[in-house]
Amino acid sequence: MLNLLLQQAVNGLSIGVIYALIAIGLTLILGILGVINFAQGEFYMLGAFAAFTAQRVLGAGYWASILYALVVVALLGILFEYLSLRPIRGRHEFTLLLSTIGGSIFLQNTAQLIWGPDPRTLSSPFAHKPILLGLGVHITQQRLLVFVVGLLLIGLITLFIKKTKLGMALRATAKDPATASLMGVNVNFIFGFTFAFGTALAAVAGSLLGPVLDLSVTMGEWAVIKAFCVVIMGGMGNVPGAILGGLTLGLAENIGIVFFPTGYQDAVGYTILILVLLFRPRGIFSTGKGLA
Amino acid sequence: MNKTRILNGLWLAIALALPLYVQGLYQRNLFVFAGIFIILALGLDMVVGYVGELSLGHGGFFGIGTYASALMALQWNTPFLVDFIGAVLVTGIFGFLIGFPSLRLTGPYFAIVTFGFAEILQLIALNSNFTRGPMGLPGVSKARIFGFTFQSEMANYYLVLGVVLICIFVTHRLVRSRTGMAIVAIRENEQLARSMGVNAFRFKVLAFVIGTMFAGAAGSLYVHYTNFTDPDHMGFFYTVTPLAMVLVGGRGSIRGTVIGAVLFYLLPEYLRAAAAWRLSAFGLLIVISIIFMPQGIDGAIRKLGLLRKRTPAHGTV
Repeated sequence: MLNLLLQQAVNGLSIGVIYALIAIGLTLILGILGVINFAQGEFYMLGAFAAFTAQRVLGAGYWASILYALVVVALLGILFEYLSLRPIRGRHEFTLLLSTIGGSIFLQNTAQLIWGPDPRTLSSPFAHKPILLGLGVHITQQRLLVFVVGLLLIGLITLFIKKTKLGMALRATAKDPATASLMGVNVNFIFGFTFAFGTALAAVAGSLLGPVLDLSVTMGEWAVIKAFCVVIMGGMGNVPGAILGGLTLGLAENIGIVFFPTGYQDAVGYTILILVLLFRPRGIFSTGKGLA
Repeated sequence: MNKTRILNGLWLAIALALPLYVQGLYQRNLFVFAGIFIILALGLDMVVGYVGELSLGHGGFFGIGTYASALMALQWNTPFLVDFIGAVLVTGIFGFLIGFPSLRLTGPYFAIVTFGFAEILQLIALNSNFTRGPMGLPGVSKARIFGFTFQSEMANYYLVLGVVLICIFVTHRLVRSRTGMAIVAIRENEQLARSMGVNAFRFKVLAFVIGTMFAGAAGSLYVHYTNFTDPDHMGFFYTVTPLAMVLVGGRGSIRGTVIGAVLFYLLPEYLRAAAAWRLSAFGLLIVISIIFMPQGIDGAIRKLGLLRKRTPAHGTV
């Protein structure tokens, strides 16, 4: 039993890092643009498929394909913000949300036209051979890689937001766009940058995890829902909260599966979501400090 | 007043005469579905337009309507009217159980919590024995009232039209009643309404429950018309589609919602010329119409001064 729980904890942490990456993007966009980006899952999907194209059409290797996915999706993100959010900035939050829902429908169905409905696979130089961690707990090379790289990225993002000038501009804009603008922050640039940055994170998550998945154009629906749960747990617009939330959701789902019938694994996330919203709507890990 | 009466009569006449001009079975079939979506959208507008909160769980209630109706019809062989009313009530009870805790939240929190509830409902439908999981419930018979079976597309069109009219009547009455005014007052300025002694929470729950009952009615009509339901019918499609209809049509307006629903149901079908691009174009249309028609079609009509304002819209109370 202990082995099983530990094994599930390892599995949970490795997927939790992915949840955290997608959710950091979502929470940044929410905190700075004030938009619930319903299309976040599509950018995760597009990341995986862009990497697929890079590998199959351009003959890129695994790392190059991730880089390609990052750049392509960041550009798409800029375009998405410019075309579907910028013209309606300041309008009612429903309007903004519906615009991203429309965008999400568009992206998913267009992806279906491009890549077709058949599941695809990404290749990776890292084997799916399990490594023994001790106590009978295993992890595959690829999953270990996902975990380590994911964690590294999360560290870099945190440093970026805390220590760089651009990061400071992000935090200032999140707090008060008008004042930030008066202080010489180019708010338009920050909005575009944040959207591109947030969607690129989802793309990295998608291409990083890609080799352990069957890629399908509907995979984003799943991702956006998980990311929502994480954002809610962490508190909206809260980056450290999103990191902790991602890892917690990964753990809760994978340990929960030991005790609940398999079909209800996803219900763990929703149940946490609803309980948190009803009893601690500012998030479990919220410090009330927002982005910082 | 007289002018609007005449206009309403005209619309009704068009709706009644429509099957005479729409000959193809497939086209008539589309209008039946458009009617079902009008009911669904009117229910959602009760929450989005009048309460002023964004429900992302409406599809879940539609699904409950289909399942409640199908289960009653299949298990107990209930007559159509009984399981129709039963489905409406069951959906309303779920609406109360979910709306009561959720409506303590507002804005994005409310939107996401309703979304979470709908997803859980779908998971239950997918994993339970009594719902037969992903296989769904086939074999629900066509609606039958007092010995008359609604077999043809035309008969179903009039059945759905009847329910649409009831829903429009209920919405109209509710909005014009003291209750409705209280609801609109809450939407416009909750604190002010509260200070005038309006129990905001109670009215919000009431409007939410009525909205979900509409969804239940739509679900029941749907399952009797198509004879089938499965967990997909609790899916997000049945939330997004009516949401697009309401927002593009113009929220808080019966006319806008009806126009939005007809347009948005028929448009993707007529976009079949663009076959494979149909759904992409649908997504694009949502974005474009949001950008260029901020108040929806109803707002655009009003701006042009084509029709006089009838229903209380935003900022009028």
